[in-house]
Order: sequence, then structure tokens, then C-alpha cells
Amino acid sequence: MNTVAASSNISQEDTFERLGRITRQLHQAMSELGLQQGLRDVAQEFPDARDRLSHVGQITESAATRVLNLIDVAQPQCHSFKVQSQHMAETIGQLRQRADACPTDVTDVMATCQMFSSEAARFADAQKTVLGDIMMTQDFQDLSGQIIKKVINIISLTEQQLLSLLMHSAPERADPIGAIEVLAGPQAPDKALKQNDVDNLLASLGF
Amino acid sequence: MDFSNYTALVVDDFSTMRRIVSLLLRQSGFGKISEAEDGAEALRKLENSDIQFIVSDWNMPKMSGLELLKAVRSSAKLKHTPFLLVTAEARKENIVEAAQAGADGYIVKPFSSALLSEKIEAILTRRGHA
Repeated sequence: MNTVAASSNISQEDTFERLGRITRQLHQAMSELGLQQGLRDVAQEFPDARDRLSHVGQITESAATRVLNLIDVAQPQCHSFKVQSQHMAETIGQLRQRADACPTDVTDVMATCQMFSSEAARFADAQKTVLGDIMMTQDFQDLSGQIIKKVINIISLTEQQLLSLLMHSAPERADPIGAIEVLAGPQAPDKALKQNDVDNLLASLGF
Repeated sequence: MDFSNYTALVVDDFSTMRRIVSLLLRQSGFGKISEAEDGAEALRKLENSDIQFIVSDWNMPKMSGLELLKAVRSSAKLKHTPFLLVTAEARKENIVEAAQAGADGYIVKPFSSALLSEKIEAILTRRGHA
């Protein structure tokens, strides 16, 4: 116990001294490398990068909402047109099976056919408009792509500056540190497990 | 398979994802869809209504999908409800943890509508609903 207490006292003084030395070295290293200015420049970009990224969040969300709203309107239209088409097919089928159909019956069905065809054209036009609207919701991709490129650039600059600082002050620790988070969130496609891997893993666990 | 008299609960903190999953479940034939934006709200809805299928995200505020799964499995009323995780968490340890907690299925985002229907049918068949 005594030894532990004594050594921790020494190490505390030691630590302060060492800390002072490291700070001096770090300051010197940063000045020598011209990092202070570089890091300051990059740090100034951070609030801007944050705003830009939240803007990407907003425009992607609004695009998704616009698409889903368009689908909510279009899907019931498709369903009702399908019902109408089935009804039309039945009407024509019934007429064809009737041996006693008179010219008036035929004319009636033809009139219904004509109405249905006009309705089909209107339906196709409406769906074409919906598809065009959905296409237009993708215009965010251009803006978000540019913003993300810009932010990647800022991160790369910061990484370079911090790495050269780390190389200078503690080269043995300059390897990337693998911080492990339990919930890592969406990964780049080459890092994530694919659905097949997941299925195989679950099967190996007896699922 | 006919689940037109089934109610499914969709749990996700992103409203867009909730809408997409709900749309797909409706296409798969679920008669009613209920939505919750986190595990805590989901648990309240599960306790107060009759729900036959749960599709949940993992990473959510207040109560995560995994915590919801554990709560469901430890509740006498809810423990047999089929539970499908649909999540961007795709690490081996996540999947093992979910399986051990009693998940019926695990889908990695992004996913196709065909995959979702396939998993739902497989789960309901295994659970003896069809």
C-alpha cells in the first residue's frame, strides 16, 4: 500500500512536469510545421461545414417527403384504373358470349369503350406527370453532392494537419486508432455486412 | 398468405423510413399499420392495442430497437409477437446480439421490397401463422 501511495505521489509531480514538457514541444512543433495557421484556417471552416451538412439533411428529407406524397396520390389512381380496366374487359367478354346481341347493345359497349379509351389516355398523362415530378425531386442530388465533396475536402485537410502533428509529437501512435462503437450506423458499402452474410450468420446461430 | 386482418407496427425515428416501410407492408397485404417513432412509444402502443407484427429500426432515441425487443420478449402479453429488425447496423456482434435477444429476422438497410415480403412470409410461416 505504502509503495503504491508513494509511487502515485511521485508520478503526479512527474506527470505535471511531463505535461509541461509535452505542451512546450507541441507548441514548438506546431510553429515549426506551420500548423497553427493551417489548423486555424481549417477550424474556421467547421461551422460552415456543419451548416452545409444540416442543409443536406433538410433537402434530402424534403425530397423524400415530396416523392412519398406523390406516390400516396398516384397509387390509389392506379388501383382504381385497374378496377375500371377489369370491368371493361368483363363487359366486352359478356357481349362476345351473347348470341342474341342486337346492334344497339354493340353500339352501347362501343360507346363505353370509347369513354374508357379517353379515360386511359388521361390516366397515362397523369401518371407521366407524376413520373416527371418524381424525377424533378432528384434535383437535390446535384447540390448535396457538391456540399458533401466540399465537407470531405475540409475533413481531409484536418486529417492531414492532425496526422502530421501526431507524427511529429508521438510518431509511434500515428497509426489510425480503431475506436469501437457498439452502434456504428450506416457504413460505406464495402465495410457493411451484406444481407446474405447476415442470413448465413443467423442460419449458423440456428435461425 | 392473407394478413388483411393483421395490424403491423412500424418503429423508426425517421418519418420517411416509417412511411416507406408502411407502404411496403400495405403492399404485402397487412390490413392496418400503426407507427411509432421510438421504442418507448412503440411499447405504449403494443400494450394498448392488438398488434400481430413488429418491424423496428435499431438506433433510435429514448428506447432503441434492441431494448424494445427485450421488453417485448419479457412481457407476458407480447412475448410471442413476431419481431423483425430493419437496421443500418450491420456488424456481426449486432446481429448475434439481436438473435440472442429473440429477434425473428434481421434486414440490413438499404433493402428491397421483395426482401421485406420474403422475410415477413418466412417469419409468419415459421411462427405457424400460415
